[in-house]
Amino acid sequence: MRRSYFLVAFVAILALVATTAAGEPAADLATYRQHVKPLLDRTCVECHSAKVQKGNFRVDNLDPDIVHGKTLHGWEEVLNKTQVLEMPPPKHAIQPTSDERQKLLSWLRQELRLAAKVHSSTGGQGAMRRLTRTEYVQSMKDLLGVTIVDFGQGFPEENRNRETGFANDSREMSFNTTHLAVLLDRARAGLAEALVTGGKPPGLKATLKPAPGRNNNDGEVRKHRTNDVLVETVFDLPIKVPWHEEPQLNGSITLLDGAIVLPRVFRDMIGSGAVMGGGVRWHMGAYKVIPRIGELRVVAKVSGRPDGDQIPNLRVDIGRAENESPHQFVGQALVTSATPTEIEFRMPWQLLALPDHGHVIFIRQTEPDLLMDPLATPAMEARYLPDQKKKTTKLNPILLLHEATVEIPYYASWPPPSHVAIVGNDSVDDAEGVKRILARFMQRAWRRPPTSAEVETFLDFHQRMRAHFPGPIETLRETLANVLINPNFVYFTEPVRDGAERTPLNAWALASRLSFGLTGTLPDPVLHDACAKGVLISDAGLRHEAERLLADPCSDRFLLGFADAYLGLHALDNVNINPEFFTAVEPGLLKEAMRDEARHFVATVFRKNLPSASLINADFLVVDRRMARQYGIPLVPGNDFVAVPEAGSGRQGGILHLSAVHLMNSTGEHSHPIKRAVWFRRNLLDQPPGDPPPAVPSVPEDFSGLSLTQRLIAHRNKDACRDCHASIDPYGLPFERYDPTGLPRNEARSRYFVFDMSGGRHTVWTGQAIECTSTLPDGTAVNGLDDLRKYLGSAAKERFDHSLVNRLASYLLGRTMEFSDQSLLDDVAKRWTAAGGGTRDLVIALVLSPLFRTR
Amino acid sequence: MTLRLDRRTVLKSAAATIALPWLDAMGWAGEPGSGPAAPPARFVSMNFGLGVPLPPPGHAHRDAWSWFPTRTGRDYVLSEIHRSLAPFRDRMTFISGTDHRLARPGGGHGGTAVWLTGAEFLGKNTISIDSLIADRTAQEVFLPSLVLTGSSRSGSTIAPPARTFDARGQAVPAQCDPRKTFELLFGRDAKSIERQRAQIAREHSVIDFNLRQAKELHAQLGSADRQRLDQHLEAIRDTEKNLKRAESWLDKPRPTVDAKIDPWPSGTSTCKDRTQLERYFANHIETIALAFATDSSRTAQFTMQPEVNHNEHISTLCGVLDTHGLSHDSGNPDYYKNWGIWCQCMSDQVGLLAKRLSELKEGDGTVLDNTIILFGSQTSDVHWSQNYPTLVIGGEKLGLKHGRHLRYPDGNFGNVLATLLTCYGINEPQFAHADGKITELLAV
Repeated sequence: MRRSYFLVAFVAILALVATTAAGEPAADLATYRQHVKPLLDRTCVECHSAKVQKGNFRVDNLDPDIVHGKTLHGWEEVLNKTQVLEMPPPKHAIQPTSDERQKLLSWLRQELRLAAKVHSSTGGQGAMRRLTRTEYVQSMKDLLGVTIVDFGQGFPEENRNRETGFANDSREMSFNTTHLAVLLDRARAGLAEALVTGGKPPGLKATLKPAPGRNNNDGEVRKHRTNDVLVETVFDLPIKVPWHEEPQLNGSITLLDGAIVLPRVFRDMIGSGAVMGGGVRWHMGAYKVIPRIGELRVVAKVSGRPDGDQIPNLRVDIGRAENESPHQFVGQALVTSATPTEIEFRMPWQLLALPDHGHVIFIRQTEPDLLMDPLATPAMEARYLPDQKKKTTKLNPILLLHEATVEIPYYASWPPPSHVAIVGNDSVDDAEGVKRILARFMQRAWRRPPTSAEVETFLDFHQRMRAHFPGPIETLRETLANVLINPNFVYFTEPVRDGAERTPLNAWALASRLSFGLTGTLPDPVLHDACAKGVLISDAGLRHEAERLLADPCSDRFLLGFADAYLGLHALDNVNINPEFFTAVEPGLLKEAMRDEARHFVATVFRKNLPSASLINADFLVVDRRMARQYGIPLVPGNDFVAVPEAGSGRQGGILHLSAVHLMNSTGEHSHPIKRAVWFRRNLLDQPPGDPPPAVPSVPEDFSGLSLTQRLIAHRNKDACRDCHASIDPYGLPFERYDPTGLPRNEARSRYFVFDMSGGRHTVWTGQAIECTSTLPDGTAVNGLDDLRKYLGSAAKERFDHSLVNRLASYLLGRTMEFSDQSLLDDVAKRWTAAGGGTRDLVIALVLSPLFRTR
Repeated sequence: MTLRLDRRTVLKSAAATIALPWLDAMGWAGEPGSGPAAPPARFVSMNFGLGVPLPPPGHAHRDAWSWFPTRTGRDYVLSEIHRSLAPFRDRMTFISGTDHRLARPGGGHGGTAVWLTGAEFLGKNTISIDSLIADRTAQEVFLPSLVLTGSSRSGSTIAPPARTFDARGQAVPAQCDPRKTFELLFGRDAKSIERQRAQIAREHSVIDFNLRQAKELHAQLGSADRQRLDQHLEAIRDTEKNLKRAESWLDKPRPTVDAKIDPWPSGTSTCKDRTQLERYFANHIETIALAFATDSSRTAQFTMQPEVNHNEHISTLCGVLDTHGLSHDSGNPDYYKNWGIWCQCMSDQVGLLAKRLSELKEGDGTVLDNTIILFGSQTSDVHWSQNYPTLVIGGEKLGLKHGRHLRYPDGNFGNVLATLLTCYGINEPQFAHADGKITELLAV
C-alpha cells in the first residue's frame, strides 16, 4: 500500500480494500474506472495508443490491475512523467486540472506500492537467512571462548532494508567468495587461539612501585629506578632481552603518602613527544620474541579521593614509544575506594603490532566522559575545567597508584579455558575421543544435535587431513574450522515443508530464533537442555526461557540493537555536528553520547516493562555523565546510563525529545524539518512518504532570502511538490524549537560571509525566528513538540502501537512483514493487551505467538 | 614496441617502487627491439552514485558547477568539478543524453546493477563490459579483473557495491581494502613453491569437502531455501576456480613490487577527513596503476560511492551533506555548488588515475594510450535515470578520437559500451541493447 497519505485517508483505504484469500489486498479498480481511465482517455490516448505511439509508448494497453498485471513498468513511466509535469506536454492544449492530476498520482502511488509488496511476498516464510555480521562475531566469541580475535575483520556489513532500515533483513543478505574466505580465515584464526599446543608460552612480568631511595640497579631481577619509583621485571624468555627493551619509566613522578599521584589529564598531544600531561608513562620493548598470542594484562592498585561530584577516573592506554602517544584505549574505571584496590585491564597482545618500536603503557587520571581527542578545542576543555572568571571552587579529585603490574602474555590457567571447553577430557589422538569432541562442538555450533553420520563424515575428514598437519591439535583446528563454514552454522536452517502455508518450527530451530533474537548469540546450554527435554515447545517452557533470557544481561544486545534499528540511529553516521555552529561541544564525542542515550532510553522502557506510552512520554530521562553535562543537569555517578526524573531537568522524556533524533534529522548545522517529518512518519507510524520524484524541480535562487518555513511553503506551492509535502512538512515543523544538537532554541542561527578589501573573510551570524506551528493533515493544530507528542500519544497512538509491533516482529524474525502476516500480527497485539500492555509483555507475547513459532 | 624502462628501472610513485626483471618474459616489453607484440589493451571504469549537479540555464552556478560542460563540440569548457582533468582536455570526450532505456523504471537508485550491462531492471542481469573484455585474455594475466569499491557493505542484487557482473549475471565480489588488493597482486609468499603447492592441494580438499556437504544440505531443503543455498554453492565453486588459477600461476614469473604500505585507511568508514578519504582513493588508484604497469590485470572497475545504502556519509568528509542529502538539498542557495564540491572530489580521483597512467611510459607512448577510462554514473539529476553522466578518457592507440562534448538527446548508453568494445576487437553490436555505434568517438 502506498502510504503517502495522511492517517485518515490511510485508514479509510485500509478499510475499503477487499482482501484475497492470502490476505493480500486486491487492486483498486473502482478508482481507476471512476477517475483514472476518463483522465487518460481525455489527455493521453491521443498521442499514446495503437494509432499514434509517440515516444514508442502506449497507455491504452496498460493493465488497470497494476498489482497482478504485467505492465508495471509502463505505469511507473506514467507516474514519473506526470509528477514532474512533463506529460501531457505543457504546450499541449488539453491539460488535467490539478485535482485530477493528484487523483491519478495518488492512485498510482498506492497501487505501485501494493504491487511491490505483493510481488515480494513469500507467504510469511521469508527467505532462509544467514547470520548477520554482528550475530556471527558474537557467536564466534561465545563458541570459541576467545575474545581477542577480531572476528568481524573483512566481513562486509549487511545492506539495510530500504523500507525498515533494518540490517538483519533476510532479503538483503548476499553470500559470495568474500564471505566464504572470511569465514574460513576467521575460524582458523579463532581456533588457533582457542586450542593450544605445548606449555605456557614465554613472557614477562613487570612490577612498578614507589620506593623512595637511591638508584640501585643490580641483582638477579632487573631493576630500574626513576624518580623514586622502582620497576622490577621478571623475564621468562629463551633469550636475554637487551637493556633498551627493559620496562622503565619516563618523565617525572610525584609521590603522596607513599603512592604515585596521577594528576588529571584533559587531552593528548600527538606527535610532539614533549607535552604528555601527567601520569605514568611506562616504556616497554617491542618483544619480538614473545609470540603474538594471549592477552596483555595490566593490574593497577589504586585508591581515590573524590572531590564534590568529581570522582577520579583511572584510564589505561597503550601507545607507541617513538612519539609517546597513546593510540589504543584499554579501559577505564571510576575509583571511589580510599583503600588501595586492584583493578585489572586486559587486551589482545596481538593487536599491538608495532614490531619496530616499543610500547608505552599510560596509566592516568582522566575525565571518564572525555575521549582523549588530540583535536579537542580549548572551548571543549573549558567545559571540564573550573571557570576561573566565576571563581568557582576548583575541584581536585585525587588518584593514587600504589603498585602496577604488566604481564605479557597473560593466561589465568594453562591450557586456557577455551581449550578445555572444546577438548574436555577427551583424547585428541584416538577416533573415539575426536568423535566426542566433534559431536559436542557440532551441536553447539549448529544449534542441534548432529546425526551420527554427520559426525562420521567430519571424523573421516579429520583423519584425511591428519597427514597435512604436524599434530592432532593442528588437525583438529582445521576440522573444527570446517564445522564453522558449514551452512548448518552459517544459516538459520529452519526446516519448512514445500507448499505448506506455515510449518511449526522444531524445538532446535525455535531455540535458535529465540536465542539470537533475545541475546544475539547461539543458544546456551540451558536452552539446549530445554530442547533435549522437549519442554521448549510448550507455552510454559517457551515463556520460561524467554523470561530467563530477557533477564540475562546479554539481552542488552537485543534491546540496544532493537532501539538502534527502531529509531534508525544509523542515520547519525551521515551527520557531523559543525563545531563552528555549536562551539560549546566536542562533536564526535557528543554524537556517540547521543546515540547511546537514545538506545538506553528505549532499552530502559523495555527493561522496566513500561507501556508503549512511555516511549512517547516518560517522566524520566536516561543519561550518563556526558549527556548530563550536555543538558546542564547534575552529573550522575559512574560511567553508565541511569534514569533520572524529568522534573526539574528542563528536558522532556520520550523519543521525540531525544537529542539523537534531532541531530540525525539535521544537516549538522541546521535543523531539517523534512527529514524529521519523514522519520516521524516512517519510524513511528510506519507510513513512509514516497521517495522524492526523480528530477524534482529545483528551488529557484530567489528563495534564498526567505526563512526555512517560507521556503518550504513556496516549494510546497509548486504543483509537482504540493501533493507530497502537504502530508510531510506539518510533522516536521513542530520540532523546530530544537536545534540540531537537541537543545531548545529561540532562533535558528545561520551565517554568511563577507569579504573585505584585503580579501579577508568575515563571518556574519544571523538569527531567524522559529515557527513551530502547523496543521496536521487530519486537521489537528500543533504548536511545538509537546503538542505533537500529545497527538502521538492519543489520536495516533493506535498507529504507533501497530508500527511498534510490526517493527519488533521484523527485527526478531529478520524479515519485513507481509500482508499474509497481518492476521498473526493482530493476534500478537491482542495477546499483548491481554498480558498487561507493558513493552516487555509485548516481547513475550510475540515470542509466544504463532508468528514467531512457525515458518 | 618497447616499454621505455631499462631493466631494473624503478617506477617512481608515491607509494611504491617496482623492479621489473620479469619483463623479458613478457614478449611485448623486453629489451628495445625484442618485443614484437603490441602493449595490452586495458579498460577502467570509475563511477559513483546519486547523480551530478546540472544547474538549469541562467543559474548563477551553471558554468562553474555543471558536471557536463554547458557547451557542446570542440569548444567545450570544463567546470570547476573537472579541474584535475584540465591537462587531459584534448584526450577525453563527454557524452551527454544517453541512458539504458530498460533500466529507467529503477530510477537512479535502482539502475546501479546494470550500468555496465544494460540489462532490464529487476530482470536477470547479464555480463558487464569489463568482464567481457577481461575474459578475452584471462589466461594471459594474473588477475584479469580488478573489482574495487569504496563501500564496506556486501550489497544486494540490486544495490551491489560495484558494477562488475560475470557471465552468469552474478555480481563479482568487490574489494574495499586497497591493502588486500595489493597483497593479492604483489604479495610474496615466503614459502617455497612446493610448500605453496601442497597448501593449495590442502585447500582443494577442504573446498571439495565443503562442496559435498553443502550439496547434501541442498537436497534436504525446500525450493525457496535452495535458491539461497545456491549462492553459497556458487561461492564454493568460485573459490575452487580461484584456487586452480593460483595453482597455475605458481610457476610463472611475477613482478616484484616493493611498496611501503603504511596503515592505509582500509575503507571509507575509517576515514576521518577529506585528506584521508583522498589518500584512501589514491591507494586504490595506485593499485590499479601498478596492476596495469606490470600487466597483472587489464581491466579494473572502481565504484567510489555505489548509491544509497552504501557509505552515504563519505561526502561529509568534504564538508558538505551526505551524498543522498546533497542531491535533495535543492532549497539551499549553494545546492549545485555543494554537490559540485563532492563531484569534484570524485573527478579528482579520475584525474589522478589519468595522470598516473600518462606517466607510465610504454613503447613510444604511455599506458594511458592503451587504456580507456570510462567515468560516470547511472544517475544524472536527482535520481533521474536518464542522461547518464559519461566521460571517456585515453585509449587513442585503441582507436579513440577525443576533445569534444558529444550530445545525443534520448541516446542509448548501450551504444557507448558497444563502441568501446570494438576497441578491444570485440564485435557485439547488440551488447547492452545497443542499436548503433558512436562513430564520432572512433578515429576511423
